[in-house]
Amino acid sequence: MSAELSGSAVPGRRDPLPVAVTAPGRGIDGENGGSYAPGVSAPAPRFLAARLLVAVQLACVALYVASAAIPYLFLFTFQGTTHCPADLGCQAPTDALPGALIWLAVPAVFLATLGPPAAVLSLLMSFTALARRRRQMPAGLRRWMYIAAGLTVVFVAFTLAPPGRLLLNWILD
Amino acid sequence: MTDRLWRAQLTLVWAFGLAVCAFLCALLIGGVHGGNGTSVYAMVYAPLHEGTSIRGSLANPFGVLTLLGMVVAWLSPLAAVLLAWRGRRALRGEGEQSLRDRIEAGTIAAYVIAALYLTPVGWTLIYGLTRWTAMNIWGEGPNAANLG
Repeated sequence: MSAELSGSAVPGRRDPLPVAVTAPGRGIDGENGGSYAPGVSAPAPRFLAARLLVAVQLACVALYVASAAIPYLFLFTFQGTTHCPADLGCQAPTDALPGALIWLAVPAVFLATLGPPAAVLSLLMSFTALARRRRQMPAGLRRWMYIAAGLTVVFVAFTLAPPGRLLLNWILD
Repeated sequence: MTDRLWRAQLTLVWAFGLAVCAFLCALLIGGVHGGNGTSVYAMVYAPLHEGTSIRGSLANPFGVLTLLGMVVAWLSPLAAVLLAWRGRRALRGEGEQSLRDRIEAGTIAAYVIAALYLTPVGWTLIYGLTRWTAMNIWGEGPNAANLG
């Protein structure tokens, strides 16, 4: 399971490369199970899956901040917490988020409920990719993977902490 | 230093991660919880709300999910300590560089998992998954004993 889900960009190549020879932009002769002729170097791995994973993690965190945290702080600042009548409660989502802002609630609901479990799965993929191939990755990609994984950890921790729970209840309200 | 050790460490990390995932699924989308909803602590540890009771069933899909998570949550501290110790011992020896890298990462992860069980994170994982498994299979609440 982990081999398919890990961030290996070239699915056919499972064997780890010898480390000393892998400069970026250069391949290694005699690898890739003989699918390349001798003397023809394999193309350098591009780590598409790892890049996609970084993009998804960063997008999740950014979207959560944009669609849940910022609207909440905005409304809290300008309207206070009593955005709905006290005796009736909120009757419709548009009571809380006026106008076109309501579309922000769609990703917010998904991110706040399904986001943390999905984030844990993406962290597992990050770990597998970094553990197997961190030495072959370009330095920039490696740094971005660490940053994205760290932000994802912060995201999960925040959604489970009281302010995050408050945000979730506000979103579902 | 063998590939088997790395495989075992990777399995531990994925099993633990999936147990956390099962916990989060049960917490966020799994239905009834105790206490006040803004606190994870109360959702896991507090009794159910007044007048709420749950009739458990073996056919409950969340019961199967939390049962698997529960087994992993109980066993993973032992496995983590064992694999961290074996990884540490293996890293003292010689080995191929790429295997060394993987075992190094796996050993750090095993240490992190073992350390998590010294914090409330690990206990909450065990307690929450055990309670929800029992709740999903046998039921819970003020009248749970009379539900049949």
